Amino acid sequence: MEIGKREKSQNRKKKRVRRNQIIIAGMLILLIVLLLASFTLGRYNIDIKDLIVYMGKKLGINLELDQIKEHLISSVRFPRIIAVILTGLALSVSGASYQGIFKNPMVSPDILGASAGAGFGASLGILLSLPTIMIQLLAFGFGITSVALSCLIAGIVGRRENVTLVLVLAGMVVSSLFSAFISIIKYVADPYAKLPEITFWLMGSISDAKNSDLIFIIVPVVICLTIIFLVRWEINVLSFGDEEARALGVNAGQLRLVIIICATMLTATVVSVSGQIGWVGLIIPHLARMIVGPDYRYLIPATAILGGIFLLLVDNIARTVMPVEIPLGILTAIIGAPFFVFLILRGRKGWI
Amino acid sequence: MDLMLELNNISCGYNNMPIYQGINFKVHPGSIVCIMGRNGIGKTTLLKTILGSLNTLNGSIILNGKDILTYSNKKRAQQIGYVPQSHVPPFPYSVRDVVVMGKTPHLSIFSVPGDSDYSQADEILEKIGISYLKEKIYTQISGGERQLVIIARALIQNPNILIMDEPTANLDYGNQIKIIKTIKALAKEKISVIMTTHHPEQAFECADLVVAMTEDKVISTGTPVEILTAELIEEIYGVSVTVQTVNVEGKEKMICLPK
Repeated sequence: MEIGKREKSQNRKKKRVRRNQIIIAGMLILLIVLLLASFTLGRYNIDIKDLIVYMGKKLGINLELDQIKEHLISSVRFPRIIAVILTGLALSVSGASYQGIFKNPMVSPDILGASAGAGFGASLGILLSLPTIMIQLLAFGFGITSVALSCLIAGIVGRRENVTLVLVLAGMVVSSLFSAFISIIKYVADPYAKLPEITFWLMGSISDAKNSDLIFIIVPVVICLTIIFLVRWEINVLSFGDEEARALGVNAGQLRLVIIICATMLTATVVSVSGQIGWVGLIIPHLARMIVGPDYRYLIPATAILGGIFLLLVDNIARTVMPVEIPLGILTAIIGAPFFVFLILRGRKGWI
Repeated sequence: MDLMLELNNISCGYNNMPIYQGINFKVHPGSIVCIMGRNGIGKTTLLKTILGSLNTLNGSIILNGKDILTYSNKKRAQQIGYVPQSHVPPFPYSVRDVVVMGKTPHLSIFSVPGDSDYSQADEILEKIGISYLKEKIYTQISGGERQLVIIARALIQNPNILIMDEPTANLDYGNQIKIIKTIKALAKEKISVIMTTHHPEQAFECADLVVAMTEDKVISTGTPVEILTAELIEEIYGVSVTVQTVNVEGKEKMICLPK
């Protein structure tokens, strides 16, 4: 009798594990389907047949494809779609990681000032008429710098007590400081050429992603994502607080630092290419938590895939709904804000 | 008897400011140590020092014959389990997941627990009588249940020593007694327990050794009957009490009542 009961509950556990695995596999299939479908969307008409012909050609089969279509697929839509997926993925995983290590489901990648810092770096680069790659490097550099600054301030102020709270407050301080710097740059920028460019960059857009940009996103994103994926179980333990994590054999301080670095690299990398895209890092981890539960073993992969799906959907809307492209950052805010209210209304129950 | 843990002339505190000095005691396998003292005297600081969260300012802690500083977090966690005062984590983990987190010191950093760890969690939940909780959500169960779950999490660590910070705080009367019973059962299995408590009765009930931290920085150690006199309790808490022996169904029990 007892054994039968235990077996039953074992089975239930296995079922839940399998359920999560099936869900994640399903999400992955959805992402791939969406990825393929996204090639067919846009002003210039490309259908699935063209896409198959293109892939056939890439595989070495001798097929005919219109020059313009080939160019559009390989040099316009491909880099954009990949950049969008990586951006969504990076922002979401970064958000989920921050939420775990700061023990707070309401934090997002901007919390330590990464977005504001990157925004300042990019604005500065645009103001100085630097080449795109330098703009991206500046954005990346200042994104990392502002997070380092937040950690430094927290380190000086906080000592051992309330590390998390002090860090979040330091992040707010640094964020508003860099926002002020952005305002200064906007104020001195030439209102006819530079100011609009800076403003548009800050709104967030991936419309002009190039194949040559991709490598700068792919390498850091893959490295950081792999590291976070490998320590995802420990994030569960860290969410109980440093003291308990240490008592459970986790080097809490070091691990938190590693995760902060990786999560910040993820955010700074994609923000330097895409501009400021808010809300993704906040709502996608919640959505994933509603689907697969709070366990980071499943939450990290689910968040990554869901982030890619979400931003790809939003980007498809951005480039098809209106004759002119809508900046991504605006759309994610319009979709994200009400969704967040919905999440709050569902309350804690929604996170199960 | 083998010696498990030995504190030699420990000073503990924050930022090089000792809160309490000259703490000496020894913990044998299966013995229960109750640390007593008024709020703010440094009981939790002492526990954190033993756990390695705080550095010792002076003296040494010897675990199984080796200085505790030579242990890595992971090695120490395989020896010492910690039962903090339970709090609500930010995410709604299932009770099972919380218990399995106790397996972390036995996993390599890049691995995740597997099926056998989950069946072990089920066994431990059953052993301490809360298997009905295993499918529940940790954030939605009562404080007493959470405390028991945290004990289960510490037990799956398979430690030789359990450190408990006021394990009965905020619990109803029934749950307090349940926890003390659980602690006594663990001691029978040769797990040593170091706990803080404010209840003299709990110390009388289960302690092999009482460590009393008093105001004038003098620490008294001894068996409860030896040292938990009315005078000492008055000195610790600043209230007058009487300690009496009562006969409960043929067994002598000590009680402490305010005057």
